Amino acid sequence: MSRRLHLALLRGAALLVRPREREEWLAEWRAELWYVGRRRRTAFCLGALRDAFWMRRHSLSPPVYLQSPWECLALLAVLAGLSVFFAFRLPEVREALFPPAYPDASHLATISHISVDDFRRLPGNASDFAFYGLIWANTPAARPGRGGFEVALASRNLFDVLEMPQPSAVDPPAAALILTRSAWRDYFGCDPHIVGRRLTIAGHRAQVTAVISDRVWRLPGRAEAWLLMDQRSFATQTMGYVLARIGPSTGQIAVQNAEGGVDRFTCVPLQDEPKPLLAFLLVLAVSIVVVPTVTSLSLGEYPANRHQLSRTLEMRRWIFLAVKIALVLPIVMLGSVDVLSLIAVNLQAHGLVVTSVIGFRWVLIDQRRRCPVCLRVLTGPTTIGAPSRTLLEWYGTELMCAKGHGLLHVPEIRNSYSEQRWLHLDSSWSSLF
Amino acid sequence: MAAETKLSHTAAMILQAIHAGDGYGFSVMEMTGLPSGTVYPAMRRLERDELIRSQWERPSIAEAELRPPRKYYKLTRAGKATLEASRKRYPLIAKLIPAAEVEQA
Repeated sequence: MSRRLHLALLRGAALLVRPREREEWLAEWRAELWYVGRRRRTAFCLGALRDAFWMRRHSLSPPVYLQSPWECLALLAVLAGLSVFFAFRLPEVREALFPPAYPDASHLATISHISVDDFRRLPGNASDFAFYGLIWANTPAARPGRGGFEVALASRNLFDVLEMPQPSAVDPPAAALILTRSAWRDYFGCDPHIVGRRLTIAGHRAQVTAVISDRVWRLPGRAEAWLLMDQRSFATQTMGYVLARIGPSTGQIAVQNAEGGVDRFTCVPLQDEPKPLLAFLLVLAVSIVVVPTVTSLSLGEYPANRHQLSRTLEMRRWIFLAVKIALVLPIVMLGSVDVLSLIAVNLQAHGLVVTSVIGFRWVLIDQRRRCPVCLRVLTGPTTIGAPSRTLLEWYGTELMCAKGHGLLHVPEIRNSYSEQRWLHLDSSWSSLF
Repeated sequence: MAAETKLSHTAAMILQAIHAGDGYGFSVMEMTGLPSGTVYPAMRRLERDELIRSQWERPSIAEAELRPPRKYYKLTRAGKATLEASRKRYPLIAKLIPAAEVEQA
């Protein structure tokens, strides 16, 4: 790494430091970097990152708006409301959460690797079968660097079999061309007058009839456009897929071949539509397993103080936790999908797991650092004891309730004789606060 | 800060290095053998606890020696008392930073 990159690393770390201390902090690290040999510079600069984290941790007090329980809940409610609002407003999120389903998917199946010739010999009602094959076609408005796009040459009844709205009719010699929204954006520059435009695709005259969402297509093979044409126009040896409307228990279809024998084709039922609720429950289950492993705090009562808290106060604390979880749920579940849909397409599932773990971990930590009586965030963390005598003496951090309800002892190393405990201060201490 | 302030072994070693050496961050790293991610946060803690204080050297000195100006750390009175107490608690500290090195520094 060059010196410039190391300086960039230092500048990046400096962003963690409070603005009024930043300049001096950076000046010191830059000056010290001058003495460090080339091989040790990266490790040295990573130390700067740790130093910057230390500066940040010890210079920031908890945000005022989160100290009061009501303000904390109000902020969470606003965030939850925004998450829900954007989940219904952003089309990408709406489609991800509530994917359009084919009306009668349980009766649909696909047959792969079948020729047009075999497709024409399929038994039963011809309107129950549709053929499509994928080709790479040039487009008059191809994006620089790309020769064309993926087009599905399909029989006219493809969308009829799917029971989806039929695009508007075209003049008989022309084929109907349906574009995905991304193809319309990438290859046709979001032309607002694209519907009705006449093109030549793969040697076929076509007329654009519709632009549809990318998520509509759930069949095998990736297509950016569909060219719906008369099946007589297909070359007999064209290979592709058949979409069939058959009974749910039909596993195979037999077709008599030209030699008098029988060819059997396996029907693969369409996969079930993704169920967002099921995905959320799965993420929730993963979070319940993961959160206890990434945080050392338990949710149990404070053992030393149990007899001091009235039933009402105990209940209020648990209700506060329940409301917080209820508000954090839409934030992590919908908010993460909202944000990630703006950044990348296929990261929602990963983001959902990460944000839910972070969110629920925060709920747990926030609950533990609040006074059990007034539910305000504890303040004034003070280090108590000597680290070298951890095994013999109490060593850890003490936090105080600003209203004078008590002290929370957090041990540096938790063990059987030294665990987090709450020291209740009775009314005789009130004169100090 | 009271003279009885108890320091961890690492913090005591850094305090000893500041007292014995040149007193800027990199020299402390060199004398103690500790990484930058340990030395600098520890020095911030010691400064916060008023055991050491820092001061930038005059730019003219650095300019004359063709190097960037250093931020020097020095022990306060409380720091010296704490170091003295730490030496009793950790007698090996003085040996961990060899006397010859102290003299050279």
